[in-house]
Amino acid sequence: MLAPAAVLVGSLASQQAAASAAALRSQSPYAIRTAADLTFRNIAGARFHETWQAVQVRRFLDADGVLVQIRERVTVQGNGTDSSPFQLEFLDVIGSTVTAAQRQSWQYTYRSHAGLLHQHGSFAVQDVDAAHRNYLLYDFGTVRRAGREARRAIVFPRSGDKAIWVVDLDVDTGLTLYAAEYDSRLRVTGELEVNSLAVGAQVPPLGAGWNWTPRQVVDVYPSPQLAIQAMRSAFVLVPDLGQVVAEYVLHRAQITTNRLNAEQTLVFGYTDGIDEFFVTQSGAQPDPFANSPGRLPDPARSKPHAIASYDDPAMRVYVFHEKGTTFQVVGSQGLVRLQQVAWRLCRQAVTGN
Amino acid sequence: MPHAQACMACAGHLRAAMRLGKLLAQRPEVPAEVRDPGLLEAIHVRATQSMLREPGGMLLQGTYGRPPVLPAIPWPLQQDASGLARQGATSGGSAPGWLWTRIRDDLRQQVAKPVLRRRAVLAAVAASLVLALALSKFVGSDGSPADVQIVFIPVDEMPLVDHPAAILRRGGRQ
Repeated sequence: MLAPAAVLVGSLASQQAAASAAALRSQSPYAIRTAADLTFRNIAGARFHETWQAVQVRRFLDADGVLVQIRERVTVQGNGTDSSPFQLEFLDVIGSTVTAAQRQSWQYTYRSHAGLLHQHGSFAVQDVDAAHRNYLLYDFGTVRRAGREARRAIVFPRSGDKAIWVVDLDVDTGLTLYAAEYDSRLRVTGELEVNSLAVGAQVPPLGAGWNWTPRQVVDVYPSPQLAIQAMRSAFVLVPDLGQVVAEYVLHRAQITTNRLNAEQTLVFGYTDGIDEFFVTQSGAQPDPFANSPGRLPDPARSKPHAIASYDDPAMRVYVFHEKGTTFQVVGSQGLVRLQQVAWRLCRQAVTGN
Repeated sequence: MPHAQACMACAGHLRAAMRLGKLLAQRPEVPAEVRDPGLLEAIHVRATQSMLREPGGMLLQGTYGRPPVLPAIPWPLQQDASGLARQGATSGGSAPGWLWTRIRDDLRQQVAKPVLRRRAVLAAVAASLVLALALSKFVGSDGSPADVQIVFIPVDEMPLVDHPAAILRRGGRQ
């Protein structure tokens, strides 16, 4: 007697799951059922529309060019905005033995920087209109990913100094199930692969305090001028980048304040819709070039202004110090124009023009 | 007996002289082209034009009392030419030896000048390119001149920046 009842219960459960999936498919406004649904607006909106949880693997190359694979879990409680509560947790390192100390270190990294990794650590449409102007979206049909039906697309930049992305987008929700970043030489520089996805009611209950909160105080401002006014540092400026990176828009102006010493850092985030670079300004730091030969007093000639330059396959960084403030320009490796951005910023800091 | 009859060699010379004498006495026909007055006139014109450009021609002009047409030649050669012209116009006599030496040197410079000028131009162009390449490092996108000296110093060690790639690199070594 129990067997038929069990079969009945199982049948009912499967029917309910199918009904939920069908309901979900019909409800999500960002579903990508056809090539016509493949738009930057759908891709951008899917991330914050509903509650979802995924176990994913992040792959990248370390400083020595060795592949590193990190398994992580991301949970998002979508509220329709890019400030939707989320959590990004470190789970494990794949393919290598991790000591207890290393595991602690990784956990600390994710607790401290989950926001940066989640919001800027892989493929994301940061600005829909800019993405339309600067990228092309090509449909490559349907694939299977994480046991779900997905639509494969290639995001191709109009400018040659940007990354090319291959993405698999969940048909039902529009969420990104796979993202691979290629440089201009078609070398893979990073991957993010979802292994399992739970959406809506499938997500386990979220307890109190589940979401990530930044360790520093983060204040976002609607304009760079307001952010400048809020800085207590003696010398900060609104970057005048001219036409060097004309296709980039300023999409974020924020001040992060260290809770321990109240040290402020002004951050301007620029995006072309997909790619990003950041200009940070922080005071109360020593000049790293104070004792370099070029800065020694020489009455015979004026001292040159030095910009430290670093680049590897993943990023390029420019750092300089002027009038008590340390400036950083950080972005993707392919964007060689960042050198000119750094030069203009340094000249602006020195001359005020 | 005359010597010409007794000496066979001299008899032969005498016979050749008499034969050639008859031939030389006959004046050859002048070719028709040479008879053309235009040919002679063209020669005169060509010679006059070349002499106008040469230091010797300028000297002759001065000698005949007409002021020379001096080209744009650099000091002090220009002064010498003027002095030569004035000297030739006033003295009316033959030019001194040092003058001919100077003219010879001038002619040699005239011949070498096109090569030197070309080399100088090439050297100037190369220097300008080198200078432009050196300055391009400091010139902004708006082409404004570099009034601030800024140098880029490559570093091998990744700076401490808050970028996802940098954070992941440091991830297991915090």
